[in-house]
Amino acid sequence: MLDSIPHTKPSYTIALIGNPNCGKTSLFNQLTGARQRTGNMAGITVTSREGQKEWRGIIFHFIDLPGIYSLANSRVEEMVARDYLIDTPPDLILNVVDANNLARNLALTMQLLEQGLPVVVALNMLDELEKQGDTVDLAELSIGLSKPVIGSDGRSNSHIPALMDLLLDNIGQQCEPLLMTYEPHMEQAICSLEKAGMSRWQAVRWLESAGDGVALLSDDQTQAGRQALELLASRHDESPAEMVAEGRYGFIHGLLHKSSSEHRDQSAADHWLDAVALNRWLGLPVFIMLLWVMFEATFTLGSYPADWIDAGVSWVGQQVGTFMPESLLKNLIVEGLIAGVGGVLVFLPNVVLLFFFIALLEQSGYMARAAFLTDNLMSKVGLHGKAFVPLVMGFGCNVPAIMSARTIEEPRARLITILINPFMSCSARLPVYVLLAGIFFADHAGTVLFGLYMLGILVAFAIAALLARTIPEQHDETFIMELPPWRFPSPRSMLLHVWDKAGDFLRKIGGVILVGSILIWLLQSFPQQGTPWLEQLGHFVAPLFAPMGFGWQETVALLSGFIAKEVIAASLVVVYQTDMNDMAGLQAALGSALAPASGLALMVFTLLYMPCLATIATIRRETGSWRWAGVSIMMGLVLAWLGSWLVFNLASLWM
Amino acid sequence: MTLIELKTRQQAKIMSIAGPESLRQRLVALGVLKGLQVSVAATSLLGNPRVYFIGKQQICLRTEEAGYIQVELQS
Repeated sequence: MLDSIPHTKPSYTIALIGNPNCGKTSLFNQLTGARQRTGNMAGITVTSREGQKEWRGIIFHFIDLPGIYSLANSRVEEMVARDYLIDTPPDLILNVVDANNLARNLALTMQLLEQGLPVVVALNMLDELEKQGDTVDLAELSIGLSKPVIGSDGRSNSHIPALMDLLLDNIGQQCEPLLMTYEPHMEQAICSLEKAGMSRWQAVRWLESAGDGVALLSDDQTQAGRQALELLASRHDESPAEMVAEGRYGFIHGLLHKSSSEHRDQSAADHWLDAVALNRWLGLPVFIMLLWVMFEATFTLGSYPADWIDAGVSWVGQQVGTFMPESLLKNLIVEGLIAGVGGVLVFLPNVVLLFFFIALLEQSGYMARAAFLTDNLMSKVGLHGKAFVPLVMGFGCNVPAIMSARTIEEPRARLITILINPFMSCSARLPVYVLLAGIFFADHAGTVLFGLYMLGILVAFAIAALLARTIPEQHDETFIMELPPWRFPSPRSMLLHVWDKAGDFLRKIGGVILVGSILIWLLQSFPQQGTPWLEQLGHFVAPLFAPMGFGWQETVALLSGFIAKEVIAASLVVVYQTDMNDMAGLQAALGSALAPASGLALMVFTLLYMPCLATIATIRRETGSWRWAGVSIMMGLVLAWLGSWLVFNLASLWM
Repeated sequence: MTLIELKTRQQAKIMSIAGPESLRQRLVALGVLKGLQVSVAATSLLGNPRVYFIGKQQICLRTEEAGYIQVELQS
């Protein structure tokens, strides 16, 4: 029997659409088992993402579109969503709606329904609403919208089976466009456009976007559209967008009157939190204190598990040392592999803690408040308010951070945000700081860490101010930001996030750091007679770094950091660790080889010098030219040299 | 008066929204509409930007944008 036709399972595409910060990405992660970044702030998702899930023998492709407020605005995120719906219509739309801000969220739902798209509505964060004593009648809402409505919760998985069944049932949903009645003059305008051959939803979209939101129109239609807009403008002070919104909100309020209880004001706890966090005089000092506490805790709390890992690595090293016969391979394993990889592995707890704290600030809703507090300063140096998200993401990794600068439309502000991002100290640099600060400033390590991050921010702002004065601005971009309600971070999502970051770090250790450590060891061990290559190279370049008091060892470590910044720590361990088997040995060796001022200068150099290879490639891609990538490299090198020279000399005077 | 002139603890109602078309569309999309109650929720150190309660939401606006929103004081 021949069975040449493979049994392909049926598959459907489902797009997630919703307002920014409505919990869409959390739901997407639950549905697909993916671990996309989430946060309590608008604009975390920039491009669309895909994932899939098999349910009852059918494959569902899920597309997570960026959060949008409307399909009629012409912003990057909105155009991504709009083009997606037109170019590759999904089989079904899962419209995620924040139950705590129903009216505004449903305004987007109206746009989908008017367009006649197949929709299932998921009412998210229902638990939060109920905690405040409010209720929504899902059945009543469903009747009003003529679409299935289901409650969902981004924090627990229990509703997923019901949601999947509902999605399955609604594949091939019959849908008539929702007919909304607008103000009479508006209706006249819509009618005139329909006569020109537009469908009703296209006519409405054209009017509310003032001719922006509809593609593929004939000249006649464009002509009719312009006339309709002019006529409306002569009859009304309100913009067409407002008139359309009034129609929709009128419908929505009627709907909610039947299905939802009255909302209460901001809760007392939220009010109190905002009274402190947004306080005119306390706001900024509290922000800076929080950051200091974060770095202090990153260092202090991280040092306990770090000691355990260190003990484990030493033990493994000793076992291999005892049981393997003396050979070159043994040296490679003990002095190259175990020392180098172990030397970076020790910093896993610090990296994990830093990510934990950043996630805590993001998920609680504090980050949006911090953006408000720093907006004035940012706009003074030519940065757009939207730069805040990319800059904070830079503390994790500069690569996704630079990509997220796409939300900034004004080209100058975007370019500045990209170019200063490498000065936001990424987590790869943390091991170097923790290592050196622990050796030279053991009593104030947290403060040194805080100082380094602050220095990075200061340099970033100074460079931004400089760039803003040399590059011409192209157009003004408005900055209007919604402050999300305070939320208690969900333990599950925090755990997933931290677990994920730990995984990334371990993968990097298993890849680039492992290879880097072995390379450094090879270069240091050959030729076996005479001066090793690594030392020769180090001595050759060392004069450049001599003014900061760096030896050939530090020189080599900095050179190796071009690949990835963690490699600096691994190199230092391999280079110094020739006959010592634990961190204490390395600390003693480094401590006696370097003056504290040089140690500080080395940290500053690591903070400022050129971005790692991956970041350079990202800058090249996002700016579209090698020129800016080159500028970024040169800027980093020059600033790092000058900065660390200055720090070395100042610190030498004091210490 | 415009939203900029609104003082802390004063309640007002949005009367109209002017300004460039893109700004008006943006405000509408965020649910900032005629007839909504507004008050000042927070002021930054230098007075710009400020956060407003608009309806049930808290929205951060710079002076440049808030100046386009006409309001009327409520007692």
